Amino acid sequence: MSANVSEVKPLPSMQKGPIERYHLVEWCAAENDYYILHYDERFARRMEFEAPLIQGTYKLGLSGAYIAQVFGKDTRIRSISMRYLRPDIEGSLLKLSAELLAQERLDDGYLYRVVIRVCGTNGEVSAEATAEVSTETAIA
Amino acid sequence: MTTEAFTIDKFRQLLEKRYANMATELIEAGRVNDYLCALDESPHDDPKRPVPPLFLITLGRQRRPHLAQPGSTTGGVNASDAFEFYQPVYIGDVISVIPTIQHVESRHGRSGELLIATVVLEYRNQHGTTVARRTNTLIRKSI
Repeated sequence: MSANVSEVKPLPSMQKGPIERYHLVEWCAAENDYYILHYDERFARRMEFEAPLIQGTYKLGLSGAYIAQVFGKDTRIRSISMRYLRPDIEGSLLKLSAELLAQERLDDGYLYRVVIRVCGTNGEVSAEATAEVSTETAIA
Repeated sequence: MTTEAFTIDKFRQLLEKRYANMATELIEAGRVNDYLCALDESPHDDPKRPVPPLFLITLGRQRRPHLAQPGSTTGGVNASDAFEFYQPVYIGDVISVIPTIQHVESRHGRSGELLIATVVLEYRNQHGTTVARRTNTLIRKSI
């Protein structure tokens, strides 16, 4: 992608939560992955966590929903790469925010590169992603 | 409780069992809506629209062997995920997930010896077209 934006542009944020245990169990079901770290307090404590953890992939899935909210339902995600930096425990409020890093005009639309950050209740970034998304129309 | 050492070989064996077979799954509206419901998002109400691309996260999972082994104090966590999407996926598509354990290695971290594995998952539709690729990195303590 060639055209970096002259000034990194923040995009509207989205808040989700609190993410309760039923969300985590529903996510286990959706993923078909019942790893007990996400619903068993005893196991979470054995792993030295305060409480069951929100799945990293849950934050990735939320990022997809966030992209659709910011760029529109017809947005195509071309790629997304997320690093899971810190755990978030059940009951957390998650805030997703993004900055526009680069944009390019294509023959059939626009291509954007963004960085997405997920922050937990304490405000620390717990996951960070870069994504390339394309749209038919320019975002406002 | 006794804690048995979890070695790089055991980690590799566990992953080889979990990713032993290619999984083929039908993309069903109900499953897509379960995914969206867990995220507190609206249902997928138009079958002509592609499903959310990150729905692919949910494919190709196996429940056994369980990541949390009896007596273990660690089951590992996800370190990173990278997806590339090449083609949209629709309700009614049949997606095969082809896993490759790219590498498993041991590193010394602040909290001791860590085991790190990278698994690549290729998603192919019923026409044999690769629709997406995921590179997933897992990390767990070697204790």
